[in-house]
Amino acid sequence: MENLVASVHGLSRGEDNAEELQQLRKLLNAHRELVQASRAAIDEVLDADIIRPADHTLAYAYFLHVKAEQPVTDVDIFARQTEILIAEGNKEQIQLAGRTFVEVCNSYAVALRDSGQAKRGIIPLTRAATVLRDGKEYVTGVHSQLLMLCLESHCHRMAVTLLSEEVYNVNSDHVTPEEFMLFGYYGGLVWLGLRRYREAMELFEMAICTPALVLSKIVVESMHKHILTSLLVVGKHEIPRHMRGHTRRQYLAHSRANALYDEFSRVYDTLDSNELLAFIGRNEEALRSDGNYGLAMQCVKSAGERKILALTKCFVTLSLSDIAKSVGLEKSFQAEAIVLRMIEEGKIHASISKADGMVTFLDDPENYDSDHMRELLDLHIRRSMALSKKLQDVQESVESTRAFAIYASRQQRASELTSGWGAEIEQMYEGINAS
Amino acid sequence: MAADGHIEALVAEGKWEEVRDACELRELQAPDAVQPWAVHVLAHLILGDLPSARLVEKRAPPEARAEGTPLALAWAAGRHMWRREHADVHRATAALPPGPARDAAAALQLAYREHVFGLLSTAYSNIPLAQCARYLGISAEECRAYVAAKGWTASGEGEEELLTVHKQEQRKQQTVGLEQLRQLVEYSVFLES
Repeated sequence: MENLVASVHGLSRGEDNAEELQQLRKLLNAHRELVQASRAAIDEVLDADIIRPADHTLAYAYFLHVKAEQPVTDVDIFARQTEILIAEGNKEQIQLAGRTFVEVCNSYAVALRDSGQAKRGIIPLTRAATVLRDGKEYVTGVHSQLLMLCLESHCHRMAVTLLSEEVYNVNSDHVTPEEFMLFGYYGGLVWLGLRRYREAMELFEMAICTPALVLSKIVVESMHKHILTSLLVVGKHEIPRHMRGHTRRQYLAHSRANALYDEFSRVYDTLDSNELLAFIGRNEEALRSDGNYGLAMQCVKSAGERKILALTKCFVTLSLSDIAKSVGLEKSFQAEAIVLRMIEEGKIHASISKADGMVTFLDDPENYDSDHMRELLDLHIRRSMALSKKLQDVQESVESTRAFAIYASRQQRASELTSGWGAEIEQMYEGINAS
Repeated sequence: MAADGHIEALVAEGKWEEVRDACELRELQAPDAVQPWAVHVLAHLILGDLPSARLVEKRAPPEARAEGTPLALAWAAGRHMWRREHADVHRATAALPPGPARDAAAALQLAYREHVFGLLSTAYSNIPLAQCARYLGISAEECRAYVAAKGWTASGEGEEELLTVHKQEQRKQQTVGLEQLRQLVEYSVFLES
């Protein structure tokens, strides 16, 4: 162990020592069994500053990784050591540690969650995710654990900055497919907690469309939530078209055996709040155990609103009592409350006259000719332009790879061969017709 | 629950976004310290973020959420806002003791009253005085004076008294200049490339 520590000191010295750090990584991997055998000495090495996180980040991470292989008995000591690693660690060495660092953070998050200290890990893991990634558009293996802690501690807002950044890239060296899918699933749950249904739906879709060979529980749960949030946002549900073919087939087979959510979607299409309530009543236990009871009740409210929205397409004025009847309410003041809420949320434009109990449906007064609207449009256009540039860069990077060059030449050969046969067949027919 | 001096100063200045951020940072950096739960919830309510206010209440320890505590009173207002029980929002925080929480509650009442008034102006062409006063959380006399100052008119008497809404014209800011031309040129260049 002393020789290993001496090597760590020697190879971590100075700046621009990328080669030496690579050598150190190989050395640490090779001596893993030695460190495992000396597990009892790890705390002494770390706490006595023999291995310092600022200078020897790579080794510090490896030692903690070995320590975390066993169930963490003293959570406070392990948590403190991980927090020091994250706060003082060198960025280059953290990125070199890669998967090792991610697994240390994962063990840290699980230990905090199990000991009821989830909130404690939010600031450290936010920094860990920021340090580990190559840019804002990258998802790391730490993201899903951070979101898990935010959910566990009901600190959803702390995850908003991370979730608001658009994600285009994954460093496959230190993100597993499970962590990527969990990022989508947990991220969707965070947005659901903040009542941002459209953003939640997009993240559930990201989890569902992750390339996979088998159907996972994460995808099944994401799909259930996707069904309910789609009903809230769009009013109908379709399986995301980018979901892989074999995963889609496996999901359809699974949903035939467990048709609760597909059935709910069909009942929602009737926009009958009473029928929806009856359906939820019959399946309350299943919905509660899936954690979807609240969302299902939101869908009941949404069905009533969609009915009123449909009325705005047919009528210019309508009485509150007629609105109440069409939505299945007993009293007109209940319809008034719903219409008022929809006006407040910007879902309809209407004017209520209490003198005669009539509602006049109005056109959207927005003419898109104000500075504010121009700024909004400019924001959206620039995002589209940035996305287009991103796609172009991805296309160029794929086209310059060897695998694509082989694929493209095969395609070209196949099309030349086919067109060659076509010409010969045409000549044959011309010959037959001539004779 | 005692808020520290920095948060108190921000409450006094009415900088609610900074109050919210300071409360969150304190919660994360010093989770074992005494937290200004009521002020935190009220800051979210003033900023119109009901889901976040609800989550703050949910994660507070049981002793902070007990009946009669400042947090319980602050969240009572939030609960009424959630259910759109406009009239009850103003009454909910009346029992808060003097301090930053009470100052925040007073700011919430003003902000909520303005919000509800804006909603009533948009949603109604006419509305009974009693209903309007209830929604605004003020007496009928105060309501009559409040809406008269905004250009509304009253007709009828007693329980039949009806207020006619005066829709205020929204002034749009429209500027035309080199900045807009530059944006259009950027879009054209992008589309041509």
